Amino acid sequence: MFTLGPEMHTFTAIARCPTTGRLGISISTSEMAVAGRCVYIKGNMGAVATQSRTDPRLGQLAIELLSLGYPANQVLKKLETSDPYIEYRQLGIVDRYGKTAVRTGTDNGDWKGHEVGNQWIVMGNGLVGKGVVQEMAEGMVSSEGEDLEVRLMKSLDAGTRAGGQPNGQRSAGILVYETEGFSIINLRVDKSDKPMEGLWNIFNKFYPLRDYYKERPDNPSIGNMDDWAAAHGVEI
Amino acid sequence: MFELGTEMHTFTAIGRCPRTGRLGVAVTTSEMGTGGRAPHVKANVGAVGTQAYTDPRLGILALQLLEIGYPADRVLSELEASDPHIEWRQLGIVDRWGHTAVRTGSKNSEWAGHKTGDGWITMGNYLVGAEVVDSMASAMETSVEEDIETRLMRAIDAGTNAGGQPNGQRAAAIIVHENEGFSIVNLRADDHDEPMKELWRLFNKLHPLVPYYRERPDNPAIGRVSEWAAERGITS
Repeated sequence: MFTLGPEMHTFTAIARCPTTGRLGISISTSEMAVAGRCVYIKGNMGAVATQSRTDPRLGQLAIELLSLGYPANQVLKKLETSDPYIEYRQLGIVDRYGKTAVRTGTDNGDWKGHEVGNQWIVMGNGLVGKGVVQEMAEGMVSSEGEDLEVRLMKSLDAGTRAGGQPNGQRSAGILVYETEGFSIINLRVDKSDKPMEGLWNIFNKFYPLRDYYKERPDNPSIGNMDDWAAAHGVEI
Repeated sequence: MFELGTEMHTFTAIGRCPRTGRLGVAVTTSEMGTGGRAPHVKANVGAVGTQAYTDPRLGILALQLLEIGYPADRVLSELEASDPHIEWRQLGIVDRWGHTAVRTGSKNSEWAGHKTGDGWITMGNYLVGAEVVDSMASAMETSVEEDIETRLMRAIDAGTNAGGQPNGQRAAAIIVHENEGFSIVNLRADDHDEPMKELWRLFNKLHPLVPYYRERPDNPAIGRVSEWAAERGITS
């Protein structure tokens, strides 16, 4: 029927910023438009990634359970007992307290696995080797103190440079929620030969504009984005 | 300080499929990453576009109110009463019954306006003229027998072909939620010279794969998407 092994091939960093409480995820995979299926965040509630043979409903259920107040490990238990196909999934959860819970099902394609650290998870499946996840972990550790969105980009980049997946990447995305409740970084490359390069390209353009988009909802007379960027010496 | 007239420049189609109940939004604009700010959709609950000087929180609040059970026009009244900057916004709401409510604030830049029909809204601000929104409306009407995702694509394509915005488009996105509770089409072109062309490219690749992504959550032994596509003669 089908061969196990060459499945979903995704690698992902999930984290909470210990300084600001921001929550974010960065992700890359060999299938198109990954960030539309695998990434779930609610400001001040939690960040969840559901991958491998993804069930997007697990992400939504996890966010609801986190919103009720369950900590990450309890949410993971509830997902385990709700999903008849749990061994096909790879799930990572970071809650509002920075607690982590992660599970790599036995039916994930090799190499598969995860590492956790201070309020972060890195995980992947169908990878060229554990070096990918180790480099992502190193990316999170060595960037401690920087903005969460930069750390998530560096971690994903490190995974890509460590070889990523045997059949290459095709899509990537980064999603970061401010504590105010909406995303301050929400960027995607949905189908590209070099999605990591494309994601850096748009990230570097957008990152200097985040203060504009943070302010504009409460100050709509801020003016247009082009003028704001020019006044702040930002090239877009 | 700043000149009125050069603001957000966005045009959007919001619709509910009268046969299937699917809800979706398609949007394009001159700023990067619009798909991360403007469209808000929840399956069986509603679809909302918040644009012009966007406040993403209005989209989040609107979905919560729709979920409680308020119809679209009542939700719009609540948003009007909550937002001190309502004249700067352009808001469109389609509820789970296909009722529509839309408001183009007086501080939107010309040309700004909207049209509504059976379960759909087309709206835009800082456009080359009324013909952009009229063309989108006409596309929604003439495509009524087709899938909602195709109708929404045709609508913003028609708006683009009608001249779009004076300063061109840079980003585009489409999100459509299936009744089962997750998005079946969720695609973005975040930073492109011709985002509509890029969105069609992504859409035409993904659309034949929708049955795969719909089935996989409950049937993870389905195999990988590339093999599934090859068996059906689908090229990606």
